[in-house]
Amino acid sequence: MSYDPPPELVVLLQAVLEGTLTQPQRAELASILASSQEAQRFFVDYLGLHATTQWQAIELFAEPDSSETSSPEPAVCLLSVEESVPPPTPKFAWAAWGLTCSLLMAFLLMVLSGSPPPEPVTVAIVASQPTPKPEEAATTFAGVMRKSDSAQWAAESPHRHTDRLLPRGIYQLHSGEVVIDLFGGGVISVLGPSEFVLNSGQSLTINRGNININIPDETANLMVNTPAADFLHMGTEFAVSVGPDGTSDVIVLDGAIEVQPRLREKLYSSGQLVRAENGFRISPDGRYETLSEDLESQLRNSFSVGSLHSLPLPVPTISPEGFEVRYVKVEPDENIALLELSLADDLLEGRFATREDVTTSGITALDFEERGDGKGSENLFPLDAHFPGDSEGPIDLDDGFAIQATATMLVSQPWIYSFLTNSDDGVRLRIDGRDVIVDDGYHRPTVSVSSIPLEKGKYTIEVTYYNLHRGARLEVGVAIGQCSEVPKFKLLSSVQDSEQ
Amino acid sequence: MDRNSDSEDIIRRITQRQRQLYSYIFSLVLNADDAQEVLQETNLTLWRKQDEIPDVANFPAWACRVAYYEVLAFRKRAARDKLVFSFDDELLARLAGEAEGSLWQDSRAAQLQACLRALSNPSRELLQLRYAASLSIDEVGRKTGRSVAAVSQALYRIRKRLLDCITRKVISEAAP
Repeated sequence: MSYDPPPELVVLLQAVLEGTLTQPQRAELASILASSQEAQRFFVDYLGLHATTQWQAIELFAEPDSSETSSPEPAVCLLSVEESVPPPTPKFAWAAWGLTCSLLMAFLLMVLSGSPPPEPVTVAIVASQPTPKPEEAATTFAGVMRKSDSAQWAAESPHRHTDRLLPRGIYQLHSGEVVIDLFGGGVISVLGPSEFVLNSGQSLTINRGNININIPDETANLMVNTPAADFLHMGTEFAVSVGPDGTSDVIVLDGAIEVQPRLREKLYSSGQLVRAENGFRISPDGRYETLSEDLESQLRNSFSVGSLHSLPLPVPTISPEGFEVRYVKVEPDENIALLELSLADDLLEGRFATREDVTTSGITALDFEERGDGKGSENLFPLDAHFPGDSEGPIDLDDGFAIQATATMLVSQPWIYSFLTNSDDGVRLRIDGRDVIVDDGYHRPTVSVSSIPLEKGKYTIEVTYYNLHRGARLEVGVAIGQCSEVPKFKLLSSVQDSEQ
Repeated sequence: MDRNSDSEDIIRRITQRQRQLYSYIFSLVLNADDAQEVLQETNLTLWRKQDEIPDVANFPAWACRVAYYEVLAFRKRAARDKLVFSFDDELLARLAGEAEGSLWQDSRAAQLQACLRALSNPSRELLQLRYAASLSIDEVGRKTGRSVAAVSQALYRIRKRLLDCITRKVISEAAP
């Protein structure tokens, strides 16, 4: 039985022959070869085949009718055909010696300049898809405006609508009151006139005005600052009023905050822990003052919008029609090993001959498993269906195949959502044509997570997956918010929670 | 046999082994230019040792040992010049051992021609572009409308088939 090299060795062999082997790849190659005599044998045989084909190319690929009658190119002929250099018959010793030297020189010259053909300059194998940067998408927006009461904004403030994603930027609220849910895990109520900066979903700067901040989750990653101080929350609710000169009045309504004055070089400007029901004033020069009862009361009662709590959000779902899953198996004669997404794309776009091309509708979720148990990452969801589309029973996992799954995804609340793939081998998840996850390359089951803000509405979700051989797994999950904790993800499904 | 005949014979024997030596060296240095350089050094060393050649029982194996020492010398030079080189001594010795006994160190290379004929036309054409026309993978991709990765993968599969084919022929030849 012929040796079947592991995919990582295949990639390294290609890099060797294409002259693109990097230093880390050399180390990896040495490691693979050192651990297997079979790999060593295959390695030298494979490279030997390349070198031999390179050396004998003209002879090997000559037209059959001419190869038997015409003389091959001298270099190739001389170097590859045993009878091609008949011994000369010199008449004199000195002449023979000179001829010998000439032959040797000629031979060396031919070796130096004639053959084999030089290794062509080639490019490395690279994925055709650009590296995704979903984090950039995530930072375009900072949150969602949940409520707006008679709000009048400066014209230069970023566009803002209730129940729509709110971009990062400087906001000037002339009058009225708004409530904003921030991706970083806090809800703020802003009373006009105020000027504030949404630096990101995790960072709020209050330049002036009155803002109430509720951060119920101790682990939330929201930074709040004014010209006078940074406020580090500890699961709290507090109200801040910033005057024109940057002086900040603060009252802690629940929990506690740590205050770090901006000018920490002053002796009297040390950090302070302030607990609930306490108020204080801090000026931009770092000076603390006690807040009068009147000011405390005014700050406490200035907000009228009501309780500040994040709304319970439903997780995105797939429409009742489910996924349409196209399963395409490459024709073995195509000599294609599906090692990266560009090849899967080529296969799905019909650039290779296919052995099977089957489309199945009504798939509720993407949770497919074939002999993947016990490998690499945990099997996250229990559905573990067979890959759909194979018409002859269990798929032959020794041949490469690709999956393209498309569905309509329903988002009922604008927010930032996280998507997860657990895949062996590569996978790409796109939403409305935008790369959200790109996990390219053959590998053991690997979990990838990425977050993206989505408005309320319908989206086309497209999952492209491929498997080279052996075990195969594809799981696609979703979670609310910027989430990286795998247990919080649910299977992205057309079946509602209660039915799952 | 007089000295002239000896020299001619030596040249012929060295010449006949060029392909095998190149293949052997290439599998140890992993680079065509480096393999060429080591092959030239090997040729010179073989020529300098011509007096020993008539007494050598197994010339191919002996030539491989000479090439192996030239690979080691090349590696030392490369290290001195801070050039990158590949494997440690132990692995290099093991690969050299495998390479000496590989398919390409005897007449079995002749099977390559027959196995090439057994390939499908598209596969053969791909090899032809890569080797006979000396096109880079990139150029082959442009010519055939395939991505670089697709060409690279196809070439791997074709080479693997050729190796399997040659191995089968070698085994069937060896069978009683």
